Amino acid sequence: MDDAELLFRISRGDEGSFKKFYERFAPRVFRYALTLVRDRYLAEEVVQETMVTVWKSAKNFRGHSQVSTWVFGIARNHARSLLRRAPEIAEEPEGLEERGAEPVDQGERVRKALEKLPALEREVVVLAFYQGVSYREIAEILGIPEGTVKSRMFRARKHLRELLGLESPGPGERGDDAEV
Amino acid sequence: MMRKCEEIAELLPWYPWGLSPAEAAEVVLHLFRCPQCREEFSQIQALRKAVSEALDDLPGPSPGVWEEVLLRTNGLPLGRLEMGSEFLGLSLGLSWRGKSAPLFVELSLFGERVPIFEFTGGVG
Repeated sequence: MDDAELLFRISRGDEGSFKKFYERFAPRVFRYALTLVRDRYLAEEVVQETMVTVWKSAKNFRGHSQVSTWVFGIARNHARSLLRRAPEIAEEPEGLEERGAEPVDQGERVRKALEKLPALEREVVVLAFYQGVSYREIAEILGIPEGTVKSRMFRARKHLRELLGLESPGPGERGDDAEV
Repeated sequence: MMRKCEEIAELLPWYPWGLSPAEAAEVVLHLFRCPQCREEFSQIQALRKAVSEALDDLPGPSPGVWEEVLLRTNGLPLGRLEMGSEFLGLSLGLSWRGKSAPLFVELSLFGERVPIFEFTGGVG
């Protein structure tokens, strides 16, 4: 059953569909939230708030965008609301990786590198590379022009490569850091 | 008009799933004749794989999160009485929502549950 069908059933109060929807989206929302709030407990709070909003607002989904775009947009709003209440969290990264110890495997190295990316770049990388969201949908979720999404991705790739000690940039890489 | 490498490179992170059919066609044609952009694409694929694997390693939310969600929406199920068959049935249930314990009645039609009545009795 596709996401939109599940959401339609949730709007009619179908508990079974809500559970399926939770199982499908909660891990994705959790990992996305973790890259925003960088604290496991706060990320779980974002999941909880997002799912309660989905249950209450499923009937308002009009199908103009992908269900995932709608869900990540809700999660982002809850995460930003949490960060406004506790702004010190945004400055103290700790969620993706334990602090201090040197990374021992590839996964740890990549998570450390992601952690070091500027928040706006990290968000685009995670949405595109991990969540499979198109640049148009990312623009919708973040409320920014599509060109800005692409330029953030450019800079994020460049920074990630540098942080991971990979090859020098290819043909499309820009030398400047200007945002479109 | 053909796009330049810089413009194609902006689309590469979203090729093929995050582009319009026209954009995807343009990218694939460009990749076919441009070894430099093919190399760039291969690096992007490697980066995407590394990010996906790194985040897949992270655990998901703890099971308690689902229970909290239930408490704030449907309520934690306390008991359910089912009548009829899997094709047509009626269920009577009671759940726990923190400050209330709603009693609900659902009609089951070919495995699909349709809520037809809910009585919320406050106990708090």
